[in-house]
Amino acid sequence: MEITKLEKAVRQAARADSARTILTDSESQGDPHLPSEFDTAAKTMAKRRAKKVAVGSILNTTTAQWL
Amino acid sequence: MIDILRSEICKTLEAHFAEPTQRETMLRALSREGFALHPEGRCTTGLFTLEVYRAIRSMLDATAFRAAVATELYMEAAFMFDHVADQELDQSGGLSAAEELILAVSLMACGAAAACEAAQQASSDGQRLHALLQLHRGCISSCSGQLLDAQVQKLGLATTEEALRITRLKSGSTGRSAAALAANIATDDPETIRLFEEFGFNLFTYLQLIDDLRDACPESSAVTDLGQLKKTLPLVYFYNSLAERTRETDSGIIPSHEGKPVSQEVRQGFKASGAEVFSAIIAETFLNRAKSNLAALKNRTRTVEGLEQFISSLEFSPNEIFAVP
Repeated sequence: MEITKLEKAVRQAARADSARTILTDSESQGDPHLPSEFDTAAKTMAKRRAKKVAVGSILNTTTAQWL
Repeated sequence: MIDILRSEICKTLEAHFAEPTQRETMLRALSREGFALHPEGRCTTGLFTLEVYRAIRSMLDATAFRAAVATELYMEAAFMFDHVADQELDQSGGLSAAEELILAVSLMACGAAAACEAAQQASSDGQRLHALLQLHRGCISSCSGQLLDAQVQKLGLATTEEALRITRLKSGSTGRSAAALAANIATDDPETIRLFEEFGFNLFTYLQLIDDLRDACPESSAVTDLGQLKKTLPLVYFYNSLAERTRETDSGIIPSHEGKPVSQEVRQGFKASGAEVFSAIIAETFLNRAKSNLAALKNRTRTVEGLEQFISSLEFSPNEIFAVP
């Protein structure tokens, strides 16, 4: 399980601190650089949320693409 | 079902703890908040064991409950170890570290006795002893996770990979051994047993990751894992974020001293670090693996409805940590 890739992606997004991001939904394209299992996990988690929900000032749009 | 399980636990303690002081102290210890005999105790491991058995046999019998008592007592022993490791000794119960540890060892022995009884009831041919072997292998793996955890607590920074490995060993192994015991006494089919073991491993890893996420820095509680500087996955991620920031800017937020309330500044830093998102995605990955295992088991068992309901009852809602605007 390559969690360091996920860790790096989330950390970069958090450091950018550039956007209050809205999770779209599972229609997003995903991030090809991350293991697909994480991509799927982010999507199934998004599906269980009540439509669009703010993550807070955590993620920038890059990360939101695969969320 | 949980009431019957609790009753069986009490009967087991009555049967195996002949010394009244040991028995009564144990009953009091298990009645504390967070333990099996407390009215709000969840008995997750024992109930999970029952559901695995029922999925294969379509019914619950005395053997199933013996197996459930065995796995739940092992889990309760691990909780007692955690109490000592976390130095959260129950003042009202007045247990010293030495008392807590010996109770934990006693519970493990009692769990082993209940497991032997389950295997004896299931078969007279000795083949079911493999179930016990798998149970104990899982317990040894789980103990190795506890040991690693204790060692990591003494060190400075850890990696997220180390934190996840500890979680997998401590909690995943517990789920694997609970499933192994139930499946081995309920069926001879190796693939069904293997799938249930994987299912238990993935589900319990998920549950622990979610617990760690909830306990990291809850708004509603003054006692937090962060305040105690624990090395759970979300917190290891956070500490390393702080370390990285400190290296690059010579600044950073320093967590409060161990045992003291976490300041609002540190709480905000934790939220902004992405630790919750990171941990939630990894937890969800294990949930998906567990669901995939369960899907594969549908054609190999009579019913998995109970296990599906079991998952639903424990499933984490992302809305718990990500605020709705």
